[in-house]
Amino acid sequence: MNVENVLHERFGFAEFRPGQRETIESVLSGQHTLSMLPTGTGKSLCYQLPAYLLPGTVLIVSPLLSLMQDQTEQLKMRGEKRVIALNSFLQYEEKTAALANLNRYKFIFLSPEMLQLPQVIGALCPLTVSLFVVDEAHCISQWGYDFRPDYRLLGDVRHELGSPLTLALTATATEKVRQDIREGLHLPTVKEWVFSVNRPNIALQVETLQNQMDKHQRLIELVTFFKKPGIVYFSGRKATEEAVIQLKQAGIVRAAYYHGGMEASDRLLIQHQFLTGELDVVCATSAFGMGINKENIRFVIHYHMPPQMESYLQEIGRAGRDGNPSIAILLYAQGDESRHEFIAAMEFPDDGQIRQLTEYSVNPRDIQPPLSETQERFAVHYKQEANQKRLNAAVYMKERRNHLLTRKAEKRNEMLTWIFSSNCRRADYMHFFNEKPLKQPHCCDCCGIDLSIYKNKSVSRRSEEQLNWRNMLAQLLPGK
Amino acid sequence: MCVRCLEAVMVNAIKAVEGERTSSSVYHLLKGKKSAQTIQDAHLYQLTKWFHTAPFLTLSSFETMMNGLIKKAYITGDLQRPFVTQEGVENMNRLFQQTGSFNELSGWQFSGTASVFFSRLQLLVQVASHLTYGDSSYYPVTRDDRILEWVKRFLTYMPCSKKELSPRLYSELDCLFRQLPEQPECIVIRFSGHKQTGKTIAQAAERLEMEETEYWFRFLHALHSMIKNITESMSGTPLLQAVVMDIHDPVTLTISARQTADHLKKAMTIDQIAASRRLKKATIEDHIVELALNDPSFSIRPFIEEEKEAAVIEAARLVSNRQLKPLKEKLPDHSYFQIRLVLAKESGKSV
Repeated sequence: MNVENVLHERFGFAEFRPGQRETIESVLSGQHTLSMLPTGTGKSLCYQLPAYLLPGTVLIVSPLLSLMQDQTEQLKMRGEKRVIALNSFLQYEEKTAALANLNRYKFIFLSPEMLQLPQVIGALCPLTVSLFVVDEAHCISQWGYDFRPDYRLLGDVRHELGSPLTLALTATATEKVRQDIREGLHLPTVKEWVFSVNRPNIALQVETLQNQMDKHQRLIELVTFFKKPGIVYFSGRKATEEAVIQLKQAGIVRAAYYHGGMEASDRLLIQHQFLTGELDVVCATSAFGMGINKENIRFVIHYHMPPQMESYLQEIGRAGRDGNPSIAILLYAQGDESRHEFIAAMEFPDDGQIRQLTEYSVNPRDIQPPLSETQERFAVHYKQEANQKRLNAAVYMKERRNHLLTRKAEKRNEMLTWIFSSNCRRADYMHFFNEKPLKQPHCCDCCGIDLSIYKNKSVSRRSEEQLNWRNMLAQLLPGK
Repeated sequence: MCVRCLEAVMVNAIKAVEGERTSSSVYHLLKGKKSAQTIQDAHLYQLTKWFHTAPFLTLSSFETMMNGLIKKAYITGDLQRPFVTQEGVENMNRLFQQTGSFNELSGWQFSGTASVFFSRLQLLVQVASHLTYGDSSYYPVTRDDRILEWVKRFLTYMPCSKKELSPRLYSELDCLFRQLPEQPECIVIRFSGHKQTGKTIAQAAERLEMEETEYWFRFLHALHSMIKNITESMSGTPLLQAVVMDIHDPVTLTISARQTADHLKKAMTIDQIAASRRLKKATIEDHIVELALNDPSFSIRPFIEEEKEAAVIEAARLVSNRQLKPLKEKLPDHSYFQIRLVLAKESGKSV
């Protein structure tokens, strides 16, 4: 069976997207591969397809529980049952049962912390691991935008598993980050595929406004004007809810909000409603969008600027996967960046929490105020590392924290520089990844674009039908 | 000024305990805290209806609302010693006149069961809907593995073919909805199926033009009424009965065990109960063990004499771990059921 056959029969696609074939063929020829494919081009196919042509198991390291869930669900929906996700949310019995039967699975998704458990490594060792996949591989580098300390231990884990064939995937990694990936995973020889971060069908526009009132006004104008569906990103939960109220008042009825403070079941429903086309607009925090396979998103608006260029490209990359014209708008008002200063500080334990952890050796789970998931991960990792290096843990942790905070401030400034620049926006972001800029039509506000291309032309069906439980139930569960 | 439904519920509960309990006892009641104090209070002040009906509360959101009620002068005093004012009572009554007084709501009996029941039902409807439309690619409405596993097993062992599932579910739901004390839309709007997705709580409230907590209590009310009808009438809704019966509520009991308790009160023997409920004798024995474990007032005397009970306690002291086999070897005249029963009763005491 060749790769085309698998692509048609297993996945139902007619052709590869840019970069997929190169990555897949590189893996199948037995070379360690590092592939940088822009968001929205189907990275997961790069390990899913080879799995059907390789004899053994495919291990996938993934940084986020929700991402793991999305990917396992997508595989299952395609009829693949041999999928399991191992993460810290499994109950003890479930985990034991899963570990005892790992050879039943073709795809094993793991969080990096699971790979630190001897029993997990012990259960993986007897398997024939045909491919070791590191998803979101930029997490390994502190020069990357989403550094995960536990990703740095993956190189040792690879050795313990007998140095299997490895595929590192990322959407956005500068040369420096790619170097960290190679070193971190102990990959001396590696085939590198770097595809352009440019998404030619997404036009870019930045608008600077006087204050929040003007921004609200403009948001309503834009959302009303553009062809839907679309996503609006905010950097706070409350802001998403307020925006939905205003959009609805302005007549955009099929709008909903999505953020991490909602019940998991409600979040899932919003995601499904958006996928099925029952919603036109989702106002969301950055928690929304990862792992969502929706082809026809026409606009992404940033009501607040993202904390760095890489997040921005990831988020706008959710638009226009079908290749049709799409638009990304960023609204900026003076002072917006200060929100991120605050958010960044919240990602790390404060001095009081560090003291409890070090001086009083309080269990990370019992610290007051309680540590967030990110804070706990940071605390556990660097306390351990300090002990290994025989350093004062409190001093070491504060130093690491301040170092990372400085990095984040630098990333924030890069983002601001991009916003304030009067150069071509596309050229600027490509330059950021050491790519040669190119001229193209429908580029950005600096080169000049015509927003009417993205205008909503169809008249929206406004009226919602009457609610009647008999009709609704008969529709759901028809008789003979 | 309109009160939210949840506020009226709070006023109602404060009214019952005023002068004797702090506001946090009401918080624990609405949250469904599994402490002896909260459970006793629920019964003592006849507030079992509201037990565990607002699990989404946090202490800070509760206190904010309490302070709001004090500010509106519906409540006087402070969080430690709250009293309901005349105005508070009037506003509460006005609201309950509008919403009805949720007569069939029974948090104590059903709240633990209701959430699992609804998750199973949502998934089952979604599966049935897609089966009927011959559509096999969709994302399940829940990611809870226990619910997913349960429905998978249900589909394997259910007493009808996959083709019959949808019409049978329809007719069982139809039958229940005809007796519902609330408009059935409040349940149906939450179902996902072929080419349509259920609404979130906030969306459902908006669509039905209700304040959010009013929708929540109406929804729970409808759900509790369904569970009551399913479990009380032994025929008519066999599929849904299977959905409900084995749900274990950690605070109270499985509904099935509670029915066994009702039969025991009528002085029926284990064999008679097994025959009348068409269950295995061993199942009824499991229920009795469950009752001994959970209900401090439950007497095990009908099933074991005093000396035999003492013998089990004595033997258990000598055998340090709680394995049954070594105990049974020491007690050849006891049945396994009797040994488990005594052990359950003993560990129930220490909870």
